[in-house]
Amino acid sequence: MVIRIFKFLLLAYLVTFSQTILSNLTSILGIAPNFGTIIILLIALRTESQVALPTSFAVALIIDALNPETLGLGTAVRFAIAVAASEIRQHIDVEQLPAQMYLLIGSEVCFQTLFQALANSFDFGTLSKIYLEVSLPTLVYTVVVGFVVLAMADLEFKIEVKRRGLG
Amino acid sequence: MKWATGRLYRNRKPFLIIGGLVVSLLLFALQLDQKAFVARPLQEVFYTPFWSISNKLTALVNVYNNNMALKSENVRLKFERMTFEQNRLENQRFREMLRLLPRPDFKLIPADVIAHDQGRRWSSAIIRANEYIDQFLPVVDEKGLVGKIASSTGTVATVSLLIGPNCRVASRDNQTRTLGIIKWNTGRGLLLDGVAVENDVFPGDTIISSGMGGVFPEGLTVGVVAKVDTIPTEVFKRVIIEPFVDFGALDNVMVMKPLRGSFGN
Repeated sequence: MVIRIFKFLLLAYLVTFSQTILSNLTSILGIAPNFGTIIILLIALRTESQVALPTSFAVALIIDALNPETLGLGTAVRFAIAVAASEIRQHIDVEQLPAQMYLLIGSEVCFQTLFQALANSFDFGTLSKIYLEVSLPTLVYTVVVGFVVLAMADLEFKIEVKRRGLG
Repeated sequence: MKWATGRLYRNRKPFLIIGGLVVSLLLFALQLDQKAFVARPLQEVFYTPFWSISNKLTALVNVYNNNMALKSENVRLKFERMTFEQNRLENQRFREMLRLLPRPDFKLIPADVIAHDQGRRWSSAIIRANEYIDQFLPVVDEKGLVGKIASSTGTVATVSLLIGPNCRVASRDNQTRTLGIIKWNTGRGLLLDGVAVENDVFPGDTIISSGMGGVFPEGLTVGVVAKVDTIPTEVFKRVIIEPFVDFGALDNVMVMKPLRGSFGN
């Protein structure tokens, strides 16, 4: 139990680190990658759904706490993504990097669309402007960073499989 | 009760999903101050350490950037100061020259020494002025006679220095009025040639131009008598002159241009 709490705290601080310092360091022209989606996706893909769901919810809530104005909305959307990824994982082979990338792109598109639509009360004038100026660059940047993260995770997974002689 | 708990545990996934979504939407439905109340403990536990680090890092980056900017500014100011110092010294030298050479019949053209002919024992120097320089004009600095213009291409000219073989000056001892010709010496200093053994020249006497050659006007300081050798069998004395001008440190000079017609050749 203590180890579980310790692991969760470690994850939580990793999330907050990515949301604060890492976001600032990787920000280009005010656009930073959405590390939240990448982390939620990694949790959903790497752990059992019984563990993944509460962890994803907690992580999403911590990410959301950064901006109290939209508290709950980001949590709901990210949690929904975690649920969807967790479900998809059971039906298709998501061990392959391309499948993970498709999932990441889909998740980020869903997140940006749902979050911005709900946050702006479906005001399509503002929405299209925000989508073009913020969401689309963030989506591209997140996919690029996500590719690097998922590729590294994939490599680590393959090494682990080889080490255990399961491959 | 036990049955219900077991059933709930076995089917906890739908409960987790529904619970998570309901809690999220409830949070979203709260008023802003209530949201802030919920978010504050999470911020304090999870974000404050990183905000603190982030602020310190930002401050560090700002200090670094300021430091770089100040260093750059410092280099610029040092260079500017050096330029001002050069200009001040140049100004001082020119003022000294003007003070020493108040010649109403000459126009003094300031010029900078831009090169030396080191291959020929400092016998010539290249100068550049902002005005046209004629050939054969005398060149002086704040200490005395430097030489004459040997050739000119307009504003750039070659000066035959006093210590070189191509420059001779009709001179006199300022104290005894004894006449002679200043020419280069193979050893140290200059030679005052043509001083008969019966004429008086003493060590420490100042030698000035006599104005007789036609090139150099009268009264330009040349040097000081360093040594006088009288050999009974010789007709002339051997008079060694130590020039006033430091030819190894020439920097700014004045070209003396006559205002009415040609003074020299």
